[in-house]
Amino acid sequence: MPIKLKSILGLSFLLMGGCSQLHHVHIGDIDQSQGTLTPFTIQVNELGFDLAKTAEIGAEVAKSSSTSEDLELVAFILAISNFGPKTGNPVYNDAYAAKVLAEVIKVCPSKKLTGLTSVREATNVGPVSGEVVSIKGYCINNNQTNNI
Amino acid sequence: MKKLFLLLTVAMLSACTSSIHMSQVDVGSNDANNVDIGKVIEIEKSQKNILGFVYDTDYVDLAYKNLLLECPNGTSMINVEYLTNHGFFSWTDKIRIKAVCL
Repeated sequence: MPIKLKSILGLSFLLMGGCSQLHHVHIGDIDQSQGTLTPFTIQVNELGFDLAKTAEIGAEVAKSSSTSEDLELVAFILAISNFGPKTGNPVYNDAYAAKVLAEVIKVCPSKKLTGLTSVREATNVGPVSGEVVSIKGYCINNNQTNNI
Repeated sequence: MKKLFLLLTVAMLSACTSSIHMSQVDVGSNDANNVDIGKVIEIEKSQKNILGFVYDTDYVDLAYKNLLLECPNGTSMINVEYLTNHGFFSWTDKIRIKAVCL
């Protein structure tokens, strides 16, 4: 019974513990003098997965000591094989944000842009996360009244 | 045999992870921020980093010089991406620039 309660508690924390984390934000020039502004948002994301952390968790919860040792070894190998600075969890596709420039150009037919805000953030649920790059901004319409 | 299989699986799974640290898009502060979609150029420069030791520390400067060479009249829009490809006791820092030349 106590083990069951612990499992439920652990699972609840894992599911409810999802949280957003801001890594980087950049705000560009804002020009409100050229016409009405139409906001837009472009968001691309990729699954982030920390395999080493998962193996460590597995080693902690493994029942037999040999399994635990094996998983610790796996976590160590993964850690040394994926060396380097990390922002959020590692991803298996380094080109997921490659199309943001093309998307920004596509979303604004007038080709007049202002107030571009670039955000790098993540939503974490344990060792899994959604690694997000989003670009927010305003498309300047051709008439002369302001309307943010 | 089981451990060897496990090690091979781990080695295969561990390859090719990356981390994008920053990706920002900006437009010029010209009169109407009018993006004239001309030539779009792509520049990528990197530095290999082995256990924290690096030699080619000017990769960002090189990317910037290339940008100036390829867009001599300047840019109307630019996307800069900074990322790391992870490896075995080493990693590669990369800077990717996409720009719309004037």
